[in-house]
Amino acid sequence: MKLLKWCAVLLTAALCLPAAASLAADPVKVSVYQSVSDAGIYIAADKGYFAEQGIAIDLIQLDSVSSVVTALASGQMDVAGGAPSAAIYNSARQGIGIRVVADKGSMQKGGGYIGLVVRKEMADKIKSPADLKGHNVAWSGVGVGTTNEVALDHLLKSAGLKESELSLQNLTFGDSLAALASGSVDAAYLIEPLMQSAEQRGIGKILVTGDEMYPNQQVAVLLFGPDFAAKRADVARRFMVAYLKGVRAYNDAFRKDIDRATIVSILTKNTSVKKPELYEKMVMPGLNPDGKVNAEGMTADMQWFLSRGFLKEPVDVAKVVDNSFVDQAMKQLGPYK
Amino acid sequence: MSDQEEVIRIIGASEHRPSLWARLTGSNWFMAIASPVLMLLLWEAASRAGLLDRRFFPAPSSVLGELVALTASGELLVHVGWTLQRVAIGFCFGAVPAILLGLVMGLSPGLNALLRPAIAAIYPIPKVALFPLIMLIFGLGETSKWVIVAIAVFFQVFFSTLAGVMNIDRIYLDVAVNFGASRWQAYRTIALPAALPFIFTGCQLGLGMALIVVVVAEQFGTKTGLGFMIWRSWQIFEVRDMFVALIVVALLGYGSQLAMMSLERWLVRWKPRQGREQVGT
Repeated sequence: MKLLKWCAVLLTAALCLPAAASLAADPVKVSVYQSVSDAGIYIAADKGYFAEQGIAIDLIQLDSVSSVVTALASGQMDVAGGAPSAAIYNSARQGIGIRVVADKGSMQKGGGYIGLVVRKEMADKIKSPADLKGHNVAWSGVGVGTTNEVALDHLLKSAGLKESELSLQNLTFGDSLAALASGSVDAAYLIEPLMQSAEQRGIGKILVTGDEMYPNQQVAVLLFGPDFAAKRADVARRFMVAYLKGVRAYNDAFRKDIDRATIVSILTKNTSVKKPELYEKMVMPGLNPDGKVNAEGMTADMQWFLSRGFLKEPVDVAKVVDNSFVDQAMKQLGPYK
Repeated sequence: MSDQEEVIRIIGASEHRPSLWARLTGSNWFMAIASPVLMLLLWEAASRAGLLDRRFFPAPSSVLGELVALTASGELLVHVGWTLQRVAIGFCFGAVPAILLGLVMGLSPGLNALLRPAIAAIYPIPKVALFPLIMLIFGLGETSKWVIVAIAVFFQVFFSTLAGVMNIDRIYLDVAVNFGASRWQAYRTIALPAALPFIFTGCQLGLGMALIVVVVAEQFGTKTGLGFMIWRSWQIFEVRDMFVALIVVALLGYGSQLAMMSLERWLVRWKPRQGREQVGT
C-alpha cells in the first residue's frame, strides 16, 4: 500500500514537471517594430524556439531608437531591434552599455529592401541617380543621424552630386509614397512593401535598391540591454540560439522555399505587411543566418556621423559590437548551409 | 545733532534694524533668483551623490559647460535667433488683430454677440492639435510656424483685451457721449488706456503660449530653432544638448516676461507698482 502511495506521488510529480518548467521560464522583454526585419524574433516565438530555450518572451512595440535606448538602459526592456543610428553611438559614448549583438537587417545582395523610386512621369528624364539634380526628392529621417542619411550620402557620391543640388523633403516612408503619388516629389526613398506597391500601382519605377546604393549596409541590429547582457548572460546566450534558429527558418523559407507558407503566415500575423501575396513580390530584408553584423561598415557609418556633427567624439565600434553571443550560438548551431 | 541723526535715533528706538538675512528674504529680486539657484544646487548635489542617473540627468555644471561650448561655436545662437524670429513675427500677427478685435467687440455689443460664440468655440481646441491642418494649408515652411504662433497668441490677447474693455466703468463712456466724443476718440482715450493693463497680461500669457507652440512646430519641416534642437538631441540621444535647449527655452520665457513687464511699466505709468508697494509695506 505504501509503495502504491509513493508511486502515485512520483507520477503526480512527473506530470507536473512540464508545467513547472514553463512556470520557471526566464522572462525576456523584447521591443519590436512590427517590421518584416523583426522576422527572426516572430518566427522564433511562433515556432517555440524561445520556449525550447526556457525563455518566455514579452513583445512590446516601441517607435524610435531613442525610446529603445532609454528602455534598454533603464532595464524596462531586455532586447530590442533598432537601426545603428547616431543615437546608438552617442549612448555608448555616454556610458550606456547597450550592446549590438546580431544582424537584424542588412543590404545583402538581392536583399535591398529599401530603394529609390522615380515617379512614372519622370522615369524618362531620371534614368540614373545623376539625373536627380534639381529635383524634389522625398527621403525619410534626414537631419537626425539615421542610417538612411548614410545611404543618401553613398548615392550622392556615386552620382557626383551634392545634397544642396537636390530639393530634399524629409517625410516618413508612408508620406513619401503619398507625395510621389500626388506628384509633390519626383522621387522617393521607400521601404518594402511600399517600394513594390509604388511600381505595381503604376505610381513609379524603382531606380536603385539599397544593396546597389550601399552594399551590405547595416540597416538594423539586435540590441541587448546592459543588465541583460552582463547579469543574465546565460539567458542572453539562450535567447541568441533561439533567435538565430528563427533567422535560419526565415532564410530557409525565402532562399530555399522550405516551409515558406508557414513563415509567411507568421509574418502576416505579426508584421505590418498583412497581405500574403505581397511576400511573393517584395524584396525581403537580408538577415544574416550566422548572425554577425557588418562591423566594418558600422565603423565607416560612425565616422560619417562624426563628420556631420551627430557625434561629438569618435566611438570604438569594437566596444559597441559584442559577437560573443553569436559565437556561442554558432558553436551550438554550426554554420548555416 | 542734525535732523537726520534725530530720525535715525527715533527709528532705532522703536524697532530693531532687520538682519541681512531678513532684508534679503524680504527682497523680491533675491527671492526670484534664490529659487532657481536652490533648485540647480539640489540637482547638482543629487547628481554628484549618485541619486540621479547622470546619463539621463546630467549635472547642471556639465550642462552649463555644454551651453558655453554651443554658444561659443555659434550653433546655439543660430537656433535661438530662428526661434525668436518665429515668435516675434507670429506674435505680431496674433496680438495686433486680437487687440483691435477686442477693442471693437468690447464697445460694440452687436458685434460681440455675433462673433464671440464662434471665437469661444474655437478657443478650447489645443493649438498644437491644429498644426497638421495648418501645415496642410500653409505648407511645411516658415508660414505655418508663424500662423500657429499667431493663433496661440491671438486668443490670449483677445480675451484679455475684451475683458479690459468690458470692465470699463460705464460712466466714462457716458461722459464721452455727453461731451460728443467721436467713436475713434472713445477708443483712443477711454477703451485703449483702460484695457492696457489687461492687454499686457494677455501679451504675457500669449508669449508663454507662443514659446510652447513654436517648440512643437519646429519639430517639423525645419533644421533650425530650439524645438528642432530638442527633437534632434533626443533622436541622436545627445542628452546634454537637450537640457541646454530646454534651459534656454525657460530663460527665453522668463526674459520675455520681464521685458513685457518693463514695457508695461513704461507705457502704463498710472498703474500702481506691485513690487514697490510690497517693499514699502
